[in-house]
Amino acid sequence: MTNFTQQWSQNYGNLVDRNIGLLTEEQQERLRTSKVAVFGMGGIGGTAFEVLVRCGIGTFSIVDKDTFEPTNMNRQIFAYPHTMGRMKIDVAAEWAKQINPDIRVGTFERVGEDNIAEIIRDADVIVQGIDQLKPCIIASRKAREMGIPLVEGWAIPYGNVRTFTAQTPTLEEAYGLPTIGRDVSAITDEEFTKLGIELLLGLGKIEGVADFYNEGARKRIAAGRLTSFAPMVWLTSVLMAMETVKVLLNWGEIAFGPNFTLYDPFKHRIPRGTP
Amino acid sequence: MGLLTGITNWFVQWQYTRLVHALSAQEPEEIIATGERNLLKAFRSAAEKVPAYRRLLSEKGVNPGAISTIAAFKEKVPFLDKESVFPRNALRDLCVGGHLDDICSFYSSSGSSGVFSFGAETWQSASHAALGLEFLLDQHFQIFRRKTLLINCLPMGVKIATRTIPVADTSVRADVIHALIKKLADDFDQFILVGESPFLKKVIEEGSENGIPWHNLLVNVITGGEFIAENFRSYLGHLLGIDFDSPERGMILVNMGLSELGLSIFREEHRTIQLRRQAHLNRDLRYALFGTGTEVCPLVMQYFPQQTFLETVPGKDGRPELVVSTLGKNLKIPLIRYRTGDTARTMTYPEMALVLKELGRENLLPEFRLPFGMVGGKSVEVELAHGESVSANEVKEALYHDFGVASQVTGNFRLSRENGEVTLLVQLRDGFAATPGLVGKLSAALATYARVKVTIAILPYRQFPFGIEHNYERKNQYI
Repeated sequence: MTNFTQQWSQNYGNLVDRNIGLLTEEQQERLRTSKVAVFGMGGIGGTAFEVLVRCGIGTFSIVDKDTFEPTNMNRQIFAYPHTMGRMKIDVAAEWAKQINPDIRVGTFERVGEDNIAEIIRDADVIVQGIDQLKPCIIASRKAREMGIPLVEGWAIPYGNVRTFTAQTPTLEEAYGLPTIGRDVSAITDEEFTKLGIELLLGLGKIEGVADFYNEGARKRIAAGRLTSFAPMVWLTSVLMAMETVKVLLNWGEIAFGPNFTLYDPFKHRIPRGTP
Repeated sequence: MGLLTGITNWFVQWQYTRLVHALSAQEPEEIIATGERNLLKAFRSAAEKVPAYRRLLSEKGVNPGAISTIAAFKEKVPFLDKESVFPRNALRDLCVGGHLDDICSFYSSSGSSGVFSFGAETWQSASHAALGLEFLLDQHFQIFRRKTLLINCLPMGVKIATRTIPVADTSVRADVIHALIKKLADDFDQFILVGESPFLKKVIEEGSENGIPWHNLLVNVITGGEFIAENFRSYLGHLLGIDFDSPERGMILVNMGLSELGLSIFREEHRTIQLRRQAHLNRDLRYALFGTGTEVCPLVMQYFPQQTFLETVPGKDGRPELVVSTLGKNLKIPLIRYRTGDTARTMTYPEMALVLKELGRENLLPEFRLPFGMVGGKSVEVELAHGESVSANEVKEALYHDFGVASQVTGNFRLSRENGEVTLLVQLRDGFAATPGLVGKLSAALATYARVKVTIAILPYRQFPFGIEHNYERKNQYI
């Protein structure tokens, strides 16, 4: 029987020591040698990233074009006064290195059709935490082409996650987007913005959402101003991280799309999950 | 088209048709057997007709008459290398017949290794080289269907022999290349840029900045002076508007050999490019082809065993080193068991077919049933204690990992080791200042390909202390 721990540095061994028991050493080694591409280093992606780093995943690609700003402080795990104005990917990569000095993190400022293959190179799973539709579609199409599972979740309505694979409907099919079959380059930024808002409002069709998201919140979303709340954001992030680990280890029941797997902490219930 | 040109083109195309038919119809084993027969003939011919080689065999006590099998050849025939061949022999003694009478051109290496090597072409061998080149150009770029201008950007006056398409010899003058393309954009269906990779980067980037509408032109690129990263190809493709799934809309391909000797050995084609691109992106395919733990793919190319006999031997660093024996009947300077210094591995066509079948990727298998060379180029790396190292090839992939980084640097860099730490100096493009986070991005990119921690410094163009004076006429030295 292979003794995987011999291949681990002392730092790594310490990092994952408390994982062992729930995970076997073989499963932990699988996480160490896995690569996850995380799209977005904001509320959803950043928190999912940190959880996955602490799980002991060895290699990441992370993508975000933004710098930290004060309004990120309510929910973004790497947002501190001293990180304001810095690129989110740079801060996140440095943070990850402190948790696991052996980690490998490739950083990208943008997602385009010309660099998507390199971003998700060797990735075993993609974590989709960007709240813009264009990169989301670019990533989901390439993920399907390259046979990489994509785990998706949103900061609204409440804790939610689903996984797209080659065996599930596509992300665009799940949302019924009119982008299916069209080149991304043929879709204007205005159309993407409009479709993105419609997509978010579509999440409101999920049972019980209206109880939690009042009219004011919905009007704000319709105006293109997102609303987000740390407990909801982090809940989704943790669900996505857990789902990612499950996919990597082929462990438990995967939340395959198109249905969301949801948890409503407001009423302590599991709603039905089709947007 | 004049009558003479028409007849020449017809004859050339007829020759290609025969060649394609032969390559498509022959079994891989038959192709290899032909090469082995040619090897023994080439060896005996060199031993008989090349004075320096005859002398060497005599010094080593090798009786050419006793070399009648491949096994005997591999056991007894000595290795040659640049240092043992060129400095100690007169060039005429390296030539068939011991004279220079029928030579039409001489070649020289850049001398970047410290030793100059030389090549020579006769009128007859030049014609043969033109046949090979035109075959390649038509296979990939349909030069007989498309009105084509080949722009030769190779340095030091290196010529490209063709009989059927016009060639502009611009050397390493980016402004001249841009002027030509602007002037002739409406007169040709396509352009083929032939040059070394660092210079091609400059030409294409500066062209974009100077208003060359690359995306509206059909531009193909051939390079080969040094190892290129797959990310480099992606970057150039991005600038040129190349869709790698549609080769008819432009290709960037590598043709490698011993260019200073006028020898082309390995060729990429659409499927081998796709194979490398897929292996670059997919760990399972990459590990199956190149070994577990491989992060940087070698170049995947095919070669003609009828023209070149290839072996690998353990190199100075223990990695397989490519050894070449030239088999062409018309070569003026034949080389037998010549150590190239390039890291490479060969794979037969059936072996490749088996690997791809096991992975369900048969669609990546090329049409011509030729063997493969997996070429990593010169082994350039800095070693640390504990057997860890970082290589120039890893840095090359990292430099082009993010196009934002790639667009700010020249591609020239220098790896060194001081006090047990590896330092990487990277040269910015002329007129560019480092953007915030550039070092961090490059460091993160390098971590994707190399395990060693590297200290990175980004230097303005003029402050980079290595190679500015070469001005693209010599190869970059990366350590």
